[in-house]
Amino acid sequence: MYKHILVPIDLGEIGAAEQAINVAKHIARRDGSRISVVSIVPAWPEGLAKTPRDYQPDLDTYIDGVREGFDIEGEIKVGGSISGRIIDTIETKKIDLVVMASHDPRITDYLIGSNAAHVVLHAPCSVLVVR
Amino acid sequence: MYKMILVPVDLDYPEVAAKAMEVAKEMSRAEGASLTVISVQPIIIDESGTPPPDYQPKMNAYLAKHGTATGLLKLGGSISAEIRYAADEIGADLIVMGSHDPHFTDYLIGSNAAHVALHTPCSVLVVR
Repeated sequence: MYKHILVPIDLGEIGAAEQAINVAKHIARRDGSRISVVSIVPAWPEGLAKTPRDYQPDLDTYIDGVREGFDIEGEIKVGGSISGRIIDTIETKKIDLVVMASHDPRITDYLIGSNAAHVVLHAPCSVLVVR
Repeated sequence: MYKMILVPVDLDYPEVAAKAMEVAKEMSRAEGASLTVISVQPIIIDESGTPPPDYQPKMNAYLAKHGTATGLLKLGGSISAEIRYAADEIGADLIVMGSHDPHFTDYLIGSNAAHVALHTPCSVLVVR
Protein backbone atom coordinates (compact mmCIF):
# COMPACT_ATOMS: atom_id res chain seq x y z
CA MET A 1 0.00 0.00 0.00
CA TYR A 2 2.88 2.37 0.83
CA LYS A 3 6.11 2.45 -1.15
CA HIS A 4 8.23 5.09 0.54
CA ILE A 5 7.79 6.05 4.18
CA LEU A 6 9.34 9.13 5.78
CA VAL A 7 10.15 9.28 9.49
CA PRO A 8 11.27 12.72 10.65
CA ILE A 9 13.49 12.57 13.73
CA ASP A 10 15.10 15.05 16.08
CA LEU A 11 18.69 13.92 16.65
CA GLY A 12 18.64 15.73 19.98
CA GLU A 13 15.58 13.71 21.13
CA ILE A 14 16.00 10.34 19.43
CA GLY A 15 13.82 8.57 22.00
CA ALA A 16 10.80 10.58 20.85
CA ALA A 17 10.84 8.80 17.47
CA GLU A 18 11.19 5.25 18.82
CA GLN A 19 7.51 4.35 18.47
CA ALA A 20 7.29 6.04 15.05
CA ILE A 21 10.27 4.13 13.63
CA ASN A 22 8.85 0.85 14.97
CA VAL A 23 5.46 1.55 13.35
CA ALA A 24 7.23 2.49 10.09
CA LYS A 25 9.16 -0.80 10.13
CA HIS A 26 5.95 -2.71 10.83
CA ILE A 27 4.29 -1.16 7.77
CA ALA A 28 7.46 -1.60 5.68
CA ARG A 29 7.56 -5.31 6.58
CA ARG A 30 3.97 -5.67 5.38
CA ASP A 31 4.19 -3.46 2.29
CA GLY A 32 7.85 -3.92 1.31
CA SER A 33 8.36 -0.16 1.60
CA ARG A 34 11.57 1.84 1.69
CA ILE A 35 12.09 4.06 4.74
CA SER A 36 13.76 7.45 4.73
CA VAL A 37 14.74 9.15 7.96
CA VAL A 38 15.21 12.88 7.84
CA SER A 39 16.59 15.16 10.51
CA ILE A 40 16.51 18.93 10.17
CA VAL A 41 19.34 20.61 12.04
CA PRO A 42 19.85 24.32 12.62
CA ALA A 43 22.24 26.08 10.23
CA TRP A 44 23.50 28.21 13.08
CA PRO A 45 23.39 26.17 16.28
CA GLU A 46 23.41 28.03 19.55
CA GLY A 47 26.95 28.78 20.63
CA LEU A 48 28.17 26.94 17.50
CA ALA A 49 28.61 23.90 19.75
CA LYS A 50 27.88 21.54 16.88
CA THR A 51 28.11 22.35 13.21
CA PRO A 52 25.66 20.73 10.78
CA ARG A 53 28.41 18.36 9.61
CA ASP A 54 28.78 17.00 13.16
CA TYR A 55 25.29 15.53 13.02
CA GLN A 56 26.07 13.05 10.22
CA PRO A 57 27.79 10.48 12.47
CA ASP A 58 24.86 10.71 14.93
CA LEU A 59 22.42 9.96 12.13
CA ASP A 60 24.58 7.11 10.76
CA THR A 61 24.79 5.55 14.23
CA TYR A 62 21.04 5.93 14.69
CA ILE A 63 20.24 4.26 11.37
CA ASP A 64 22.68 1.40 11.97
CA GLY A 65 20.95 0.86 15.31
CA VAL A 66 17.43 0.62 13.89
CA ARG A 67 18.12 -0.93 10.48
CA GLU A 68 17.44 -4.64 11.25
CA GLY A 69 17.70 -5.49 7.56
CA PHE A 70 15.22 -2.83 6.42
CA ASP A 71 15.89 -0.54 3.48
CA ILE A 72 16.50 2.62 5.52
CA GLU A 73 18.40 5.69 4.40
CA GLY A 74 19.02 8.88 6.30
CA GLU A 75 19.44 12.47 5.34
CA ILE A 76 20.38 15.61 7.23
CA LYS A 77 18.80 18.83 6.06
CA VAL A 78 20.32 22.04 7.25
CA GLY A 79 18.33 25.05 8.30
CA GLY A 80 14.94 26.43 7.49
CA SER A 81 11.56 25.68 8.98
CA ILE A 82 11.36 22.11 10.25
CA SER A 83 7.85 21.45 8.94
CA GLY A 84 8.66 23.23 5.66
CA ARG A 85 11.76 21.09 5.11
CA ILE A 86 9.77 17.93 5.91
CA ILE A 87 7.19 18.89 3.27
CA ASP A 88 10.02 19.60 0.75
CA THR A 89 11.39 16.14 1.48
CA ILE A 90 7.97 14.55 0.88
CA GLU A 91 7.90 16.14 -2.55
CA THR A 92 11.49 15.45 -3.62
CA LYS A 93 11.52 11.85 -2.41
CA LYS A 94 7.97 11.09 -3.57
CA ILE A 95 6.96 9.99 -0.08
CA ASP A 96 3.50 8.45 0.21
CA LEU A 97 3.33 8.14 4.01
CA VAL A 98 4.84 10.14 6.86
CA VAL A 99 4.99 8.37 10.23
CA MET A 100 5.79 10.66 13.11
CA ALA A 101 5.50 11.14 16.83
CA SER A 102 2.91 13.66 17.87
CA HIS A 103 4.70 15.53 20.54
CA ASP A 104 7.44 16.09 22.94
CA PRO A 105 7.10 13.04 25.22
CA ARG A 106 7.73 15.17 28.28
CA ILE A 107 4.39 16.86 27.79
CA THR A 108 1.02 15.05 27.90
CA ASP A 109 0.04 12.54 25.25
CA TYR A 110 -2.83 14.57 23.85
CA LEU A 111 -0.68 17.40 22.65
CA ILE A 112 0.91 17.63 19.26
CA GLY A 113 4.03 19.65 18.57
CA SER A 114 3.76 22.62 16.28
CA ASN A 115 5.93 21.04 13.59
CA ALA A 116 3.97 17.80 13.65
CA ALA A 117 0.73 19.78 13.50
CA HIS A 118 1.91 21.73 10.48
CA VAL A 119 2.92 18.53 8.66
CA VAL A 120 -0.42 16.83 9.43
CA LEU A 121 -2.38 19.79 8.15
CA HIS A 122 -0.33 20.64 5.07
CA ALA A 123 1.48 17.52 3.83
CA PRO A 124 0.53 16.43 0.33
CA CYS A 125 0.60 12.73 1.34
CA SER A 126 -0.93 10.53 4.04
CA VAL A 127 0.32 11.13 7.58
CA LEU A 128 0.21 8.72 10.53
CA VAL A 129 0.52 10.46 13.87
CA VAL A 130 1.72 7.86 16.36
CA ARG A 131 0.64 8.19 20.00
CA MET B 1 -0.18 -3.58 16.03
CA TYR B 2 -3.66 -2.04 15.90
CA LYS B 3 -6.67 -3.84 17.32
CA MET B 4 -9.53 -1.39 17.08
CA ILE B 5 -9.77 0.97 14.11
CA LEU B 6 -12.33 3.78 13.98
CA VAL B 7 -13.35 5.39 10.68
CA PRO B 8 -15.44 8.58 10.78
CA VAL B 9 -17.84 8.81 7.83
CA ASP B 10 -20.34 11.48 6.86
CA LEU B 11 -23.25 9.35 5.64
CA ASP B 12 -24.51 12.23 3.49
CA TYR B 13 -21.12 12.45 1.73
CA PRO B 14 -19.53 8.98 2.05
CA GLU B 15 -17.27 9.66 -0.97
CA VAL B 16 -15.14 11.97 1.23
CA ALA B 17 -14.15 8.94 3.33
CA ALA B 18 -13.92 6.49 0.41
CA LYS B 19 -10.12 6.31 0.31
CA ALA B 20 -9.82 6.29 4.12
CA MET B 21 -12.32 3.41 4.25
CA GLU B 22 -10.31 1.39 1.71
CA VAL B 23 -7.10 1.96 3.69
CA ALA B 24 -8.86 1.09 6.95
CA LYS B 25 -10.26 -2.13 5.49
CA GLU B 26 -6.84 -3.13 4.22
CA MET B 27 -5.20 -2.35 7.58
CA SER B 28 -7.89 -4.19 9.49
CA ARG B 29 -7.38 -7.27 7.27
CA ALA B 30 -3.61 -7.10 7.59
CA GLU B 31 -3.65 -6.54 11.34
CA GLY B 32 -6.69 -8.61 12.23
CA ALA B 33 -8.19 -5.48 13.76
CA SER B 34 -11.87 -4.71 14.30
CA LEU B 35 -13.29 -1.89 12.24
CA THR B 36 -15.94 0.48 13.53
CA VAL B 37 -17.62 3.18 11.47
CA ILE B 38 -18.83 6.30 13.24
CA SER B 39 -21.11 8.92 11.81
CA VAL B 40 -21.97 12.08 13.70
CA GLN B 41 -25.12 13.90 12.70
CA PRO B 42 -25.92 17.38 13.87
CA ILE B 43 -28.87 17.86 16.19
CA ILE B 44 -31.34 19.64 13.99
CA ILE B 45 -33.51 22.22 15.65
CA ASP B 46 -36.59 22.45 13.50
CA GLU B 47 -39.37 24.88 14.37
CA SER B 48 -41.99 22.61 12.84
CA GLY B 49 -41.08 19.93 15.34
CA THR B 50 -40.02 17.44 12.65
CA PRO B 51 -37.68 14.92 14.27
CA PRO B 52 -34.15 14.69 12.84
CA PRO B 53 -33.89 12.22 9.93
CA ASP B 54 -33.14 8.62 10.87
CA TYR B 55 -29.68 7.72 9.63
CA GLN B 56 -29.89 4.08 10.73
CA PRO B 57 -30.98 2.80 7.28
CA LYS B 58 -28.13 4.73 5.62
CA MET B 59 -25.69 3.36 8.17
CA ASN B 60 -26.95 -0.20 7.64
CA ALA B 61 -26.56 0.17 3.88
CA TYR B 62 -23.06 1.59 4.28
CA LEU B 63 -21.99 -1.23 6.62
CA ALA B 64 -23.44 -3.84 4.27
CA LYS B 65 -21.64 -2.31 1.30
CA HIS B 66 -18.30 -2.47 3.09
CA GLY B 67 -18.82 -5.80 4.83
CA THR B 68 -18.27 -4.24 8.24
CA ALA B 69 -20.27 -5.14 11.30
CA THR B 70 -20.08 -2.22 13.67
CA GLY B 71 -21.48 1.25 13.17
CA LEU B 72 -21.99 3.99 15.71
CA LEU B 73 -24.49 6.76 15.11
CA LYS B 74 -24.05 9.81 17.26
CA LEU B 75 -26.04 12.97 17.51
CA GLY B 76 -24.00 15.85 18.63
CA GLY B 77 -23.00 19.43 18.48
CA SER B 78 -19.30 18.95 17.88
CA ILE B 79 -18.29 16.36 15.31
CA SER B 80 -14.66 16.19 16.42
CA ALA B 81 -15.61 15.85 20.09
CA GLU B 82 -18.06 13.03 19.33
CA ILE B 83 -15.33 11.22 17.38
CA ARG B 84 -12.96 11.55 20.32
CA TYR B 85 -15.60 10.32 22.80
CA ALA B 86 -16.36 7.35 20.55
CA ALA B 87 -12.65 6.51 20.23
CA ASP B 88 -12.49 6.46 24.00
CA GLU B 89 -15.73 4.48 24.35
CA ILE B 90 -14.67 1.62 22.09
CA GLY B 91 -10.97 1.76 23.03
CA ALA B 92 -9.87 2.65 19.49
CA ASP B 93 -6.10 2.63 19.00
CA LEU B 94 -6.20 4.08 15.49
CA ILE B 95 -8.48 6.53 13.72
CA VAL B 96 -8.28 6.46 9.90
CA MET B 97 -9.85 9.43 8.18
CA GLY B 98 -9.97 11.47 5.02
CA SER B 99 -8.41 14.89 5.20
CA HIS B 100 -10.80 17.14 3.44
CA ASP B 101 -13.70 18.02 1.30
CA PRO B 102 -12.69 16.70 -2.14
CA HIS B 103 -14.02 19.83 -3.81
CA PHE B 104 -10.99 21.67 -2.49
CA THR B 105 -7.35 20.89 -3.18
CA ASP B 106 -5.61 17.87 -1.69
CA TYR B 107 -3.48 19.90 0.64
CA LEU B 108 -6.36 21.19 2.70
CA ILE B 109 -7.67 19.45 5.78
CA GLY B 110 -11.16 19.88 7.13
CA SER B 111 -11.57 21.52 10.52
CA ASN B 112 -13.00 18.39 12.13
CA ALA B 113 -10.22 16.19 10.77
CA ALA B 114 -7.65 18.73 11.95
CA HIS B 115 -9.12 18.83 15.43
CA VAL B 116 -9.21 15.03 15.70
CA ALA B 117 -5.64 14.68 14.38
CA LEU B 118 -4.29 17.23 16.80
CA HIS B 119 -6.20 16.40 19.96
CA THR B 120 -7.21 12.77 20.02
CA PRO B 121 -5.40 10.48 22.49
CA CYS B 122 -4.84 7.61 20.01
CA SER B 123 -2.88 7.32 16.75
CA VAL B 124 -4.43 8.99 13.70
CA LEU B 125 -3.85 8.23 10.03
CA VAL B 126 -4.86 11.09 7.75
CA VAL B 127 -5.35 9.58 4.28
CA ARG B 128 -4.66 11.73 1.21
